[in-house]
Amino acid sequence: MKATTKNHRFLISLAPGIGFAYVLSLLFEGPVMYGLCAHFSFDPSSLIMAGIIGQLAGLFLCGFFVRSMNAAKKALLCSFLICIPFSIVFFFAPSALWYVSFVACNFLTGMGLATWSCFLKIFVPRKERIKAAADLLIISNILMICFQVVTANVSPFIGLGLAIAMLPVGFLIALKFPKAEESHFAGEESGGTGRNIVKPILILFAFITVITINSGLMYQVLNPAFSHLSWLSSWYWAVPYVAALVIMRNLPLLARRSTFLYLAMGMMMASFLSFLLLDRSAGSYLVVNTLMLGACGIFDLFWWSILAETLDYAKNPVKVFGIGLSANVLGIIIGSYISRGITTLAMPEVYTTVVALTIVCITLVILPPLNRWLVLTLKNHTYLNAYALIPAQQQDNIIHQVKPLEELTEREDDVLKSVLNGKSNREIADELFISENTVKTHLRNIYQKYDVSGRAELISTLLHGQVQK
Amino acid sequence: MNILKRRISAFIFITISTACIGVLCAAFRLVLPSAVFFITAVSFGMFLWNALARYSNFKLVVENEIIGISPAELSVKKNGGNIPLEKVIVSTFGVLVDSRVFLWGVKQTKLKEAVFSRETLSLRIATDRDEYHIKLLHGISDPAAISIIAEEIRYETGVTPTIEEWAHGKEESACSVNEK
Repeated sequence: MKATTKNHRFLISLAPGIGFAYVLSLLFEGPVMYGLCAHFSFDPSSLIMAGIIGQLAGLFLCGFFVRSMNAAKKALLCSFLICIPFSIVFFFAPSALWYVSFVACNFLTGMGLATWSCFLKIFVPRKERIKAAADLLIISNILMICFQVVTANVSPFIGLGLAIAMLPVGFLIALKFPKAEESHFAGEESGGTGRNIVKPILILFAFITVITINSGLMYQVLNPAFSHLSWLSSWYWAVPYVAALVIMRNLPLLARRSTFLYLAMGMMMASFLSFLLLDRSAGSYLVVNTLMLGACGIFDLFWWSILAETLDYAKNPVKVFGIGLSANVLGIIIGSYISRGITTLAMPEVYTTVVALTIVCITLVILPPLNRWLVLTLKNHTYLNAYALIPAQQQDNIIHQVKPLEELTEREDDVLKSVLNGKSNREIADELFISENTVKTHLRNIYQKYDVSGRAELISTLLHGQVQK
Repeated sequence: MNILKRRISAFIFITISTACIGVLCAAFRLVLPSAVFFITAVSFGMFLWNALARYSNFKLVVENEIIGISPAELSVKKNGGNIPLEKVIVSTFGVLVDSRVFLWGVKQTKLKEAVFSRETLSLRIATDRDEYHIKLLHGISDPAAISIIAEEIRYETGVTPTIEEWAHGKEESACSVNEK
């Protein structure tokens, strides 16, 4: 059984991993595309931005079209197949067709990647999803490094050929995906408990965007400074990223994730500081790049794993996953625009770095409270889902089976029941005809009476009380 | 309530303006004046914080009114209207008397007892250290209205009020009134 799960997990990561290698090396600010543009002496900035927007649209909109497992598989397979003829265009000199093909390919691969969430949700157990996400990122980045080396040292056309060759391979592997019953993912009607997922998704969206703004800044501020070291950067720049993914992938399941968030934040700051203090030699590049890309690897797997876990709460995993990944793309767009804004001021490099460092500091200050908020919201969700699965008769008993330190008033009893039904403070206020501030005061009193510090802990206490009895 | 609102507005104005002047002084490297203005801003900021906390308590009591007692009515012939006077409000979380709020059900303060007599409502509020007794003239003559209020107090605070010496000099609880 365990071996089957492992095989499924690997197979499910392999196809999109290969497809994602095509995206990373060609479509998404890929080295192959930069190589081709350099070959044709073509300015790629507008093309790259159009592609990123296409990718954003594909990720974001996919969930609105794909509403069943069959549709998800078809979308994934189509994205592999249709991108092949579109990509052939890039062998020829730049024209308007480049823009059409580039946007179309980005849109389709965005959709294909979002559909991966269905297979992840159904065939990979929740705790194993971090490994599946890591596998996908490792496979795609290793392949991308290979294509980058070929592009830089042999020819961008061979790099392009290799990238396109990944599409039929990915297609064939995706054909072998295990079959799921349609009922596993019947669009909006099943898959979750129907609880409102909007708030966690919004927090997750903000969290991913804030994390990725740093990556966007990094690409624009640090990379140009080391452009004279292309012999080294062509192969080394993603190596620390892959190494960080491998380390994170093999961590024990009980390891505290937030510790790594702080570690990555420290690495990011250290990278910027070392960029300020060190020269532009190969040794400095190794230090700066190792710290920066290592941090990016930790950050990326961090939010990928949270996103993968969030799938359990979603009615439509494609929508949630697509929105989450589009937050990543949005972060990159914001980050690159910020850095472009900074660089257009034509300040000395030191000032540019200081401004970028300040923005990184601000985003890093936002991260821990955002992470805490996200974890609490998801915990609430988990407990409320567990509560929702308990039969209605037992739900009423739960409140009375766990004795508080002091008896609840009838009003507090009503508020508690609404909380356990997953209602927000605003909804409780509307239901009981009281103000939101009053609901908060009642909740504070309830927490005090149960000797807990928050909603998640309160629900957990009540549920565990139920289990013990 | 209105006085408190005006006070909050004044504190906001003073805090922001002194902080801005402090920044301005700092920009011109006037260290001593900027320090004075910053200290003033921080002090008024603390007053503001305190006033906001009081306002929040006021609001909580007013929003959850169970019984409101008007101590007096002041009408002015010249304007043809009434001058509103602060009501005494008994609510889910406390009682508002003469611009002072006695909270219960928050932190460690508890409502221990509520007793209705023909003319008064007596409340006993206790913390770990102190005990307050508040006696209000409720001005309600209808026993049915009293029993409804008593039931609401029980529902909201968990304390069952005692209704004593009513129609026939008997002592009966709110619950027994309800049963009738």
